[in-house]
Amino acid sequence: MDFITNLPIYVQIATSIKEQIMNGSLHYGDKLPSIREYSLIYEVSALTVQRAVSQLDLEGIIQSRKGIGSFVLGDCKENLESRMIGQQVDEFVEKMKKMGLTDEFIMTKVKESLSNG
Amino acid sequence: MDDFIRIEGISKKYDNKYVIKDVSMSIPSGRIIGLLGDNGIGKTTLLRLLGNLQKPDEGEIRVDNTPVTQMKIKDIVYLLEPSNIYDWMKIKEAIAFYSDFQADFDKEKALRICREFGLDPNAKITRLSKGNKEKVCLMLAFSRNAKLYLMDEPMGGIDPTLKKNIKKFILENIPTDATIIMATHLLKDLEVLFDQIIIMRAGKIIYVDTDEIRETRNQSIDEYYSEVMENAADN
Repeated sequence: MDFITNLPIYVQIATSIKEQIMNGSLHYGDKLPSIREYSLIYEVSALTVQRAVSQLDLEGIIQSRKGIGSFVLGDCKENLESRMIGQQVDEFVEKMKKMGLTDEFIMTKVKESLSNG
Repeated sequence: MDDFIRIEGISKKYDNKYVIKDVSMSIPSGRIIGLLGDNGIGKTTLLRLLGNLQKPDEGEIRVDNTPVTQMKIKDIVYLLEPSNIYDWMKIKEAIAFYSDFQADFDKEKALRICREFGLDPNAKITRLSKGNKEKVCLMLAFSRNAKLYLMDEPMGGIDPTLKKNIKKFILENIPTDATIIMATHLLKDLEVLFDQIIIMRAGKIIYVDTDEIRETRNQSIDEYYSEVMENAADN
């Protein structure tokens, strides 16, 4: 994975794991790869992976059980979708409004984009 | 606390000139640390003091609660420079030699790394190129399972392919709870790997967490390092 070097690496890994839950490559109840496995996948230190996993645990997206591993929490996908999508849409709308576009124009453009697939 | 390395008030002088003056710091275990600074600023000296290859004039270094002066050789890996290996040996003889006197040396791992590096165990070390001699040193160091790895510019002449894979190579071949302190100029290539960095500059040592710099300053480690060095030049 190519990291953005001026953003915390552990946050980028946490985001990457969240994306995998959202796009279905990690399912509810799945056991996450071990710290060591993640360390080799992302080519970062075990400590960085540990921080990312703790962050996801803190956000209630996974549950870490000592000595057993971390699991995707059964009910997290919906939560995650609403949070991540909500944030993206808010940012997009704010940007458009800053450009002076009307609500109507934004709606039309979004609809156009959707119908273009 | 789990202060794996405790450096307490160490100083080292050469010809009455301080290279390291009254340095104290605590380093937890399981960290991968980049040691940065201009040439001749004392990075090698610090590594040699940590590895008990030299003694400080003042102060003490403890690793895992033991003064380094009393440490057994098996607990610390000091990556040799190519000039310090027995180059009249064949690679396989060097492997046999090191596995004889280092209890944590893993012969299977050594042969696996040789294959990965494209090193022929029957080759004479003296006939190898500079880059391949470096590979032999890396192979001998990473075939051990130690708690502390000290490395002084381990990849000066290494080829681009290995440079690209070096992060993976390091992570694959050390225990996850090991600490690595690596002096390097390849900051751009390795900054993502470092948990922390130590920057040495005249009269001062900075020891910081890399993700904290990214989080609080919105800077890459390479940018931060350049800024620190520019400010040092202004003073």
